Amino acid sequence: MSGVGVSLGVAAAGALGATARYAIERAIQPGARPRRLPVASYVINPLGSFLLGVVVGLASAHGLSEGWRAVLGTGFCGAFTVVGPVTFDSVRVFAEGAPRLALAHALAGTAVPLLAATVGLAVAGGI
Amino acid sequence: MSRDVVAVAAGGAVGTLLRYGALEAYPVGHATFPTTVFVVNVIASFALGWLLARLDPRGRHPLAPASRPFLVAGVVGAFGTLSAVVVDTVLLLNAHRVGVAATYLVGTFVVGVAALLVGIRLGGWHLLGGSVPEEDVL
Repeated sequence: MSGVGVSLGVAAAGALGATARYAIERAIQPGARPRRLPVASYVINPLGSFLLGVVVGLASAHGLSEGWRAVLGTGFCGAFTVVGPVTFDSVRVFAEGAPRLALAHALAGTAVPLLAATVGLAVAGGI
Repeated sequence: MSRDVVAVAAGGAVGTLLRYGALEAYPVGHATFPTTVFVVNVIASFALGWLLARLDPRGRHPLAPASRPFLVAGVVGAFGTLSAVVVDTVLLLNAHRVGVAATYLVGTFVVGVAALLVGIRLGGWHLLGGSVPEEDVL
């Protein structure tokens, strides 16, 4: 892929990743508003982190090209996963007077994607 | 709904290209602190807080609600990212850069929260006054 081709691919994959995230969020918590915690992020972030682990592993161990790594990894997985529901909802729940729930949300929102990324990297031979 | 999806897709393309451009302009070496994604996420956190506050219809000059899917789920959602943070953390741990890995992961959260709070405040929300509603930030 040329530089322009990769950039177009990254943009298209980013559009797809953001749209997939939006669709999953609306499918998982449609009527549940207002809701206490962003449950959809518990699905989206581990899934996207696992996929990025696989992509990075394939690039380092199985010759996946830089272009495809950018499109699938930086583009799709990058746009699909988000930090906002981890930080914002931790702060919001903390401000509501539930510091332990906020801490649990922050830890789970970080540790589970970290584990998923480890599994993704391991199955693809990246670590 | 379908108009929202088009807006999210368009914003997602913009946010992703901005992040990709930053990574192309400021590439980060193997087993070193991923400064570019760190800064990208700090900016995204600030922007998220500011936008959520500015979109609040109770504000003085709120942004149009119709711009929300493009800006929040689209541009800012796709600009910031979590998957790169956790994958790079695992790779740093794998390279025995434990201190760098821990600083990166914890720093992304702590500095992200600080940036978010600054954005919220500058956007006009008073966090501890109980005026922060539950929001969809995905």
